Amino acid sequence: MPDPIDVAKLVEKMPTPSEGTEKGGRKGILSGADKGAMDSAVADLRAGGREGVVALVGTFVDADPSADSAARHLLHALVINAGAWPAEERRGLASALASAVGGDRPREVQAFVIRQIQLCGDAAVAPALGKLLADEALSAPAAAALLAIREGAAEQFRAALADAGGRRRLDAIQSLGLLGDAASAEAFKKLLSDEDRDTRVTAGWALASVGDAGAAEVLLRAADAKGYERIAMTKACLLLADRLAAGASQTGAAKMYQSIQDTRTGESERYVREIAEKALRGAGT
Amino acid sequence: MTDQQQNPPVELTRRKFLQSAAVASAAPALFHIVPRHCLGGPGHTAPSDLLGGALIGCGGQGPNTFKQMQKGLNVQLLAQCDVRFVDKADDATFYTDFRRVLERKDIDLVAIATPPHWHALIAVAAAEAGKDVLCEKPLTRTIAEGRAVVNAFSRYGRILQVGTFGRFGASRDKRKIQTHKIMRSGLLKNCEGVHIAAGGFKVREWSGRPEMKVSEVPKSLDWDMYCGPSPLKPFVRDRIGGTHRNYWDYEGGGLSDMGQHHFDPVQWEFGKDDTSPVEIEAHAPPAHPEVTGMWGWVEMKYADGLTFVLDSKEWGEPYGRKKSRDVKLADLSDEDQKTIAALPDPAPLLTFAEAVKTRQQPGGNPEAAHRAATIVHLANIAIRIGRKIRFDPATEQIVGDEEANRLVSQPMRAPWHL
Repeated sequence: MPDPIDVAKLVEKMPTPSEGTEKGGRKGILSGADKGAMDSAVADLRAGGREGVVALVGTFVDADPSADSAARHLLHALVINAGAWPAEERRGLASALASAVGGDRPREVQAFVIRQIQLCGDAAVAPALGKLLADEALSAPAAAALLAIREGAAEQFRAALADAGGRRRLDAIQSLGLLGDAASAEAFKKLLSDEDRDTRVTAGWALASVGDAGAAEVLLRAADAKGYERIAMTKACLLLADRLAAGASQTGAAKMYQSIQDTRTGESERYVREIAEKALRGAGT
Repeated sequence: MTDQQQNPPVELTRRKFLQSAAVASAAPALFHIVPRHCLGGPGHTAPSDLLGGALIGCGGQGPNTFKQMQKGLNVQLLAQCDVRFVDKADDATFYTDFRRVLERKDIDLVAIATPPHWHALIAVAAAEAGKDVLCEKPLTRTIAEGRAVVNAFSRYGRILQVGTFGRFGASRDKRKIQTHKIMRSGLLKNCEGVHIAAGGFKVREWSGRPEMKVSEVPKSLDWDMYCGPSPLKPFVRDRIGGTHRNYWDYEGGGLSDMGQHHFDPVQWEFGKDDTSPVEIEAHAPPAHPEVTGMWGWVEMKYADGLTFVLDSKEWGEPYGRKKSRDVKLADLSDEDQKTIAALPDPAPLLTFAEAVKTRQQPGGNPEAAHRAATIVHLANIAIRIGRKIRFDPATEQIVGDEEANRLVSQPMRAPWHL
């Protein structure tokens, strides 16, 4: 049986902050980075497999860069190196990282590990990330990782949207909009009348992003708002109109452009009216 | 906000003109009797000459950025926005939320001098609100943000100039004009030009200190808003102020900051405002996940063979693969040289003020600024990835390296998105 990997010895090969005494030096930066030593540490950690990765994560300390910066540097270097590995081996790394999140580990440490998964993960870890969408502190990094992975992400966000509130709900709405998830259109429509402005605006944009022709009327009504919300919802209307024009609904698009032209009559909104006029001219209406 | 700010009196000429998404056609002349104070001139500022300005990001370079925006224009500072104004925000003159600034109808121009992770978002929001923008460099933090900026300013017919101006001098230099004409002519096949930028990237100066301790968030700072689209992380003092440059979350070290200064005029000179390098390779130690650090050199090649090199001169062996080489008229046949000689010089680049007045593209327009920022972003991606990367300038994706491609477009934290 191979000897367990001594991660502490590998971490020692990573650069430490400079004293700043060398020529042109500056205290605290990693100016003494020895690429050869670092590459060797990464190679050894790779050879240590899952056990080495889990052991390394076990050395991380909650929100104390002076305690574990070099260890995190080593893990990140391994993750970056994994981009050139065979897919199966990279999947194994992502799986090892996923096994290190959840549970009692400090949230800040878990967030760091999730950001590494964001670089190397694939659909296989989507369910593990999906569970983290229920955690207030981890929802945002988990959402970012799922969006980077894309495959298998939408179903995780749909499930999260069903019972999420506050920032977690925004994570889910925005992510589903970015994924173009048409199945969430009805959920977005309901959120247009939410009491939270950020939720209304994000839902409006997400609804436009999925290109639902049935959303035109409700989106135009939502755009009859004031201040920044009016600006943001108008953008959503133009986005939906563009989507419809590019797809199968030229009539739907024309109706939206016409409505924008008719309702943006003030001088301060002339630039929007002209966009609609130009679009209508282009459509020959 | 007062009623005056919500619904300011409609002024003739300048503000109405700026509100157009396109240049208006000439109207029939009308006869007016105009009060003296409306005509401007010595001692009088005509109301139609005065534009409303806002500064978003008031520390560091901010005041200079606003002054730059005022050159050639009559701009009054009406609003200042900074996430460190928690103690003094009144939502009338001082703000912490840029959206409150952008909804003001009396604001025409916006100067953006926040850290780069906010540049694209605020610029796009400003375009959507009908404002023209002068935005500090680098224009963006990621490549994907840049395309969103280009699309928004085109869609809304707004003006954006990036805050670096070396290309204006380049565009008046006879030698560089000739290089520009050769490169844009399409006559030069297999370009052998090599441009080497040696030193000046402030690598050590803007390298991060990874072991700085977490500390308490200053009471006057809205930390969540400061982080904005970037991950919300424990507060470390160096993450704000000029040292934000040292963190991947907000910028990309001295390479991002000084790189766009250097390569923006070079990009113009070599006629590459509408494309990007296709092969990028770096010599650097494995990058830290949080802070920028050492790198030796980056070599980037365009599809036509042109090579750009960044040689930091601050780490590792100096670059020695290729020697600097100009693009020369003699690289062309006699006949093609005559063709180049007969070509007119490119039109002078418009300043921000000229662009605002004429509604034509300024010299540092969105596409050019985006492509120049892409140069530094690709360089940093190559440094962080540690492998040679291939980039498709048309799709703006890295080819054959999914992990590297995940640095091209990085998901933003809700509710921020492009």
